[in-house]
Amino acid sequence: MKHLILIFVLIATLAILTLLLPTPGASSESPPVVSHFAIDNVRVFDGHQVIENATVIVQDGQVRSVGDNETLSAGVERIDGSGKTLLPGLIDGHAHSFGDSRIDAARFGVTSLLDMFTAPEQLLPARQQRTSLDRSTQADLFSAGILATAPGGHGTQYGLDVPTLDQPDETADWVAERIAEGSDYIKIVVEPLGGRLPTLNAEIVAALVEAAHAHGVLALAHASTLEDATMALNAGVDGLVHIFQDQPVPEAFIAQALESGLFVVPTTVVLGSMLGAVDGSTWLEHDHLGPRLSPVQRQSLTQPGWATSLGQQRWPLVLANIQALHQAGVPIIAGSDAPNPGTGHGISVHHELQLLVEAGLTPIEALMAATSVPAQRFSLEGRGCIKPGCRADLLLVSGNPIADIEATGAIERVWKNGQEIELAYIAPPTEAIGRDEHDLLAPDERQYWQAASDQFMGGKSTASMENRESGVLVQGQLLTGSFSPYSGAMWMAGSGAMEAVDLADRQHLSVRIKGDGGPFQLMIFSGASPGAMPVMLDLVQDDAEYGLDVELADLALLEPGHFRAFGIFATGQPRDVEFEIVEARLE
Amino acid sequence: MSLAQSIYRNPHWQLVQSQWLNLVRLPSYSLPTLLFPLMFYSFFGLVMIPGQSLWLLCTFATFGVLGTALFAFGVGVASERAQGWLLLLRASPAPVNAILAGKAISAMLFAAITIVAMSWLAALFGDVRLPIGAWVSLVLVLVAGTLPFCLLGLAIGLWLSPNAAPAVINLIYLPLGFLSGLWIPVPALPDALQTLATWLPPYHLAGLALHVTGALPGPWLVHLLVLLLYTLIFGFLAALGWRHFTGN
Repeated sequence: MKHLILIFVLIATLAILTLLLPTPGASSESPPVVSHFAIDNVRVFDGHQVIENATVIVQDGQVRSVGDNETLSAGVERIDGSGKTLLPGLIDGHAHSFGDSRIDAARFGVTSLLDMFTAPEQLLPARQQRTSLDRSTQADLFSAGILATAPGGHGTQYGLDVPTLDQPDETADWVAERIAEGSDYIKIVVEPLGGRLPTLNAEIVAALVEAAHAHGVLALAHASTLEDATMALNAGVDGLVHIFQDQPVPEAFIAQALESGLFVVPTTVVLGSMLGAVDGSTWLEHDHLGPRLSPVQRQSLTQPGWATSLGQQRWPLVLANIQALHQAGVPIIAGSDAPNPGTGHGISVHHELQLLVEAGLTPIEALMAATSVPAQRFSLEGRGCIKPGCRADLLLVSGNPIADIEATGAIERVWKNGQEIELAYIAPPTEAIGRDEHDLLAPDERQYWQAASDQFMGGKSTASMENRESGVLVQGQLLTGSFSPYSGAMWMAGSGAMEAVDLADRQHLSVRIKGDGGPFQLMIFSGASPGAMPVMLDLVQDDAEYGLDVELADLALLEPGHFRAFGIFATGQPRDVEFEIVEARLE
Repeated sequence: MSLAQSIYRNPHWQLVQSQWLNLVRLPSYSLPTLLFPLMFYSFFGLVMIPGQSLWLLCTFATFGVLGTALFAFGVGVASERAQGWLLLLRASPAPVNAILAGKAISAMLFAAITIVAMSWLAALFGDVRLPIGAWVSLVLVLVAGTLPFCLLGLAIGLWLSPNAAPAVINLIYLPLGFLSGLWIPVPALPDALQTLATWLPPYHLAGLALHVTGALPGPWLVHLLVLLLYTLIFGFLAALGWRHFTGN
């Protein structure tokens, strides 16, 4: 009998031990999270409506209550919210997460990113992280992972390894692979670019949608013309991640969209920037937010769009189509498409909200488009809301964005998982450059040179390098195959490849090469993120020589505190490359 | 007579209990099947690959389930068969189904100990936090998932000689665990192995575990159906094996 009792005792013990396992927020091991505070007398936008003069109590990473003033135990921080508005942490409905994107987004009150194409390696860790209520300084990531596109189609040009689709019968396996990689939904590219790019046909798109739905995930489509958007709609997609702007949205499309429950992430800000109608670089001058921008944000905000005359015609259609869809009742979701040209992570969601209001949404509707609407459509539980039990991702702004949408940019404080995060950009510290030779062609410096070409980015150009007494000889071939082919040689400032160092007192870079058949470019790599775009400058021709002298201080986007490398490259038309670097000085 | 006593005197319960004692008193079974998965999880899941504690908890706990089931049945049945013990039981009025149920319940208990212990390791050293429902689901899913592997072990134990059974079980246990992505997550395996994994039952049990914990929400119905199919296949093989054994 003893053993029978033992068996039952064992079962009971196991059951109790299971029930005692730690749950989120109730951590037994890590030190208790100090996140207990109240915001008093604050205007609250709870994701749907406005509550005036409320008290919001946050505890253990979640909103505990929203309502009247409440007596709290001594020691609980009370924050006066008079004249301020508390918003749910914003959701960017279209972003691409690389490097420090998620940190930059969070510093601007954007606490969840719906990524629409990124390297899949970060997805599974992100999935685990976003279930936690522990302290975090990053926006949580939801992602499509790799996008669905045709061989050679849009999306294959960025240097990521993109498995492409050729046949409808490949779609089930393809979708299953994405789900296994951690994709939360499927993004399908329909982008013939006026017949210049291969793209997925209707049959494959329909098969992809079916496969995504079989896995219980959303199928979203990138389309930029009415024709392509209609094809996607017919295929049964759940959402469009851009608004088409080639022609006005017809009644029939609206009727079908309403019937199928389609939502649209217009990405007004990136379209405006691409079309030359919106200038993201003005944010650099913003009194309040400009100084908080990271170099990566500044870089992408200042990248130019196309600014064609076609653009000026199409921009009114962008706004008109958003308005038509919105007024008919098609759900609109705010998305920035950062870090594409003219946008920056986090900041461009605020820009997008302003543009949505310009397109005819009321400020409350615009705020819903960045909170409750994406939360509902993407099933983001506890996000985009300020209600008991919601995740305490909060954005406190001064003023009243319900009256003036620009007030979302008056960011005072941001909390992620109930913990306040630092709003300023803080560059990671670097070591000072350890070498004091100013002549970079001196024998001791030769080891820091290496041949480099666009093969690194998936291109086909080649480069080889030979040390001569007179300088560094570069030979190679410039071949088409990447967005911007290059072939040349690079000098590394740190001892590791592309390692950042502080240039300290060096202020002046001069280079000179012998060769013919330009153009040649000087590219300077700097910044806290190794993925930051280089500063690109054309070398100036002087007979058979090309050269350039630059004051580093004159380059606004250069960060001497995080100097990584510079390269001298042949760029432009395909050709044989041969040049000799005869002077390179950093003084 | 109290209820407990009447339960106790029931021959079915007697046999369940005897099978439990059988395993508990065999340290060559109980220690490796309990400790190996915990040790592997500590090495791989907690020390060597940080940040993936939840994912690897699901897969290594599945691995633990696989071992407890295969060894309890495969090795146990084969040696009992060789010793003539099974034959004797069959000749006696003892209900044979209770012997099998006893083994299955014991294997499930061992599996539950492994899973709960590993969950605590994950919580204490891997910072894994799950809603209470997810913890309970993880334990229940994996304990129930012991069944198909019990049947597989039973089939092996009935078909193979006592010398061959442990060798074959070891040959199945480790590669099956690896190929099903229990040690290294399936997305990290080469393409050909990824395809192979989807054909293996532990992959689907791990898939269910990953689903209920939220580590990787997936097609749980597919996993469940595949596991049911395998349960039928293994059950059929075991039934054939039983005929083979009783026909001797």
